Amino acid sequence: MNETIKILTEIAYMVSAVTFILGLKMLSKPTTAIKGNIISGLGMCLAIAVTLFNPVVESYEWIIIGGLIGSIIGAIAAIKVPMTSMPGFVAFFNGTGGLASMLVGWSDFHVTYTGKGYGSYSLENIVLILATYLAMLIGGVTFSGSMIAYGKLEEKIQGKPILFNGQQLVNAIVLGLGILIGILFFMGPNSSFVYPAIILLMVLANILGILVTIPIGGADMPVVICLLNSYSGMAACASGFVLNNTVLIVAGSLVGASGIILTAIMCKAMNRSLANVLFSGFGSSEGAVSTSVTGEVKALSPEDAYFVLEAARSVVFVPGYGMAVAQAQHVVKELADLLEKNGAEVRYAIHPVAGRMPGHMNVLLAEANVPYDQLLEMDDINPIIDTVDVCIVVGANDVVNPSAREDPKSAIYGMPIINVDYAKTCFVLKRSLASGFSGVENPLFFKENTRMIFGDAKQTLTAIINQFKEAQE
Amino acid sequence: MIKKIAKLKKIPMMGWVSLLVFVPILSLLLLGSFPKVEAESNVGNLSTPAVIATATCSTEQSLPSSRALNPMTLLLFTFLIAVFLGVEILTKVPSQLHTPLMSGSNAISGITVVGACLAAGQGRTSVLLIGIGVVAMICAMINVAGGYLVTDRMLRMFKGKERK
Repeated sequence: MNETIKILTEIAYMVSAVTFILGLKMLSKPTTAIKGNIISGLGMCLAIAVTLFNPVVESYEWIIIGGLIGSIIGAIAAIKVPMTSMPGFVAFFNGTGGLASMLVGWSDFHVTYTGKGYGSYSLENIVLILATYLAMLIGGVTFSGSMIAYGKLEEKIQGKPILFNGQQLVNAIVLGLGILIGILFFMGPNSSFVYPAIILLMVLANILGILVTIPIGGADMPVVICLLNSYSGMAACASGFVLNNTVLIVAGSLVGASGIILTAIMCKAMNRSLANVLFSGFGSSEGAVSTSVTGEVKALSPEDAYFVLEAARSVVFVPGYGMAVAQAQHVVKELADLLEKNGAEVRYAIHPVAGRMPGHMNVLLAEANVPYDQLLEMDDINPIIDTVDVCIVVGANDVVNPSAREDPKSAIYGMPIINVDYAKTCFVLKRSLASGFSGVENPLFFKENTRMIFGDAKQTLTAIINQFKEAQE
Repeated sequence: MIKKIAKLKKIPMMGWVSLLVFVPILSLLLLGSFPKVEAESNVGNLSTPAVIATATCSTEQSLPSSRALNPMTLLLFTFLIAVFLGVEILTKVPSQLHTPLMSGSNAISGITVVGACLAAGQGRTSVLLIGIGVVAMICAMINVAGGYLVTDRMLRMFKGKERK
């Protein structure tokens, strides 16, 4: 009987592994994404249901209590979270995933260590020891790192990079200690000093997570979130090896792979290596070395902007993190509707690293009911940008900075940008002339065809919208 | 292979259904045809030839068989294939779906809930173990419930051209 349950469990796990693969596959197309998510959710329910029949599970009260609390917290958070807070939300979820894996590793270690102990160095035991170690290490780093990222994104702690002297040295020492514990654990998994060492390992892992995340600044967050996303998958994968569980391994490695792919995309979009993002403390210096830009800034009032827009046949919005901060996505859509009514073609150009996480701008615009076929990726808009009458930059800065293209001395030189300066006219909605996250001055503001509209993006757009409405009456 | 199956646009569902059915069966046959380390399996009352073969194999435990495959190698193999598959499937995700992909994969990494169930349900009296299990359970379920719900909520906001 036990054997039949075992086999049925394995089959069910395989089915849910397939639903995860299928779900992710469908999640990569807008038309099938909703179904894909539901399918993978069903697979998850199946995996949980089957696990409850596992002979190891003897009592249900703690599972139910924990499960209920977790579900309620998760569900409330999912329903309540505003779309502008999605980056912090995802960071938080990465963290809880990491913590869960770390605890699963700890629990199994506790049972094995206090129970039958670790056996001889067969392949199984080597993998078990290594996986237990990795689940706790990666899980801990993911948890604390994600919580720091969450704090930074939700502005609960300072968003700027925090640097101190000898930071790399401290990191190296902490990592070295962690590796040392790993070697000790491997050499004598049943020795008396191993339990305290493992506790120390979890503490060190959490310290390491904090240390590697604090020197990373706001606009580099997309990379960090992706990386932590990947780590949370890898930690789940490691705990799968601890438990000899196929579905954990498959699901964990899928998540690990997806996070790594997104990390690579983000790094490529910033033209920086992962090492540079993680260790350089980019954006910490107040005035980065850069050739100062000279020229005349041409300011424009919302009234004059209206006259230009009224005559425009094609308009492209280029949103950035500033749009999220000003919560301006709804007024952007309102203006877009008026422009369309006026006969103009409206599109949105989205840089891969605009905002604080991959796809951040797309979600915000979707929230404001912008149809996704109006959203263009950087590579699609750049070849046709010289046919655009007006580009409206809403709260973006570094991703439209022409010095990435023109000035080899610039810190962001080589980063692919949206060439808004090639459009016939370019409006920049901005509070001041201050430089963006990178600390690099933006020559765009001084270009011949650029008009600055100073002020809060939301108020500026509302003023333009009012002009349109008055004209219609 | 998955890509090829998905490319058969006329019968995509058939492809997936057959995959759903055949992959577990095939893998089970594979698993079943390797001698097991534990001798418990001779209680099995299934009558497929593979299982019987397994049972006979495992009663004579030290039988050196050229077909013997360490279960751990199989897990490592599964791991490699899954990573490869993940990379293959997800390389061409359009950037507009990056955020749902992240929250969706958050939900999937909540699969640790399986481990958490096993940890929380061991029926042990150790307060420490119960504590670890319950916290793990809470964290994993936050991921599962929150991840799937928020992904769904987000995806429902994505709309194509307004159909009037």
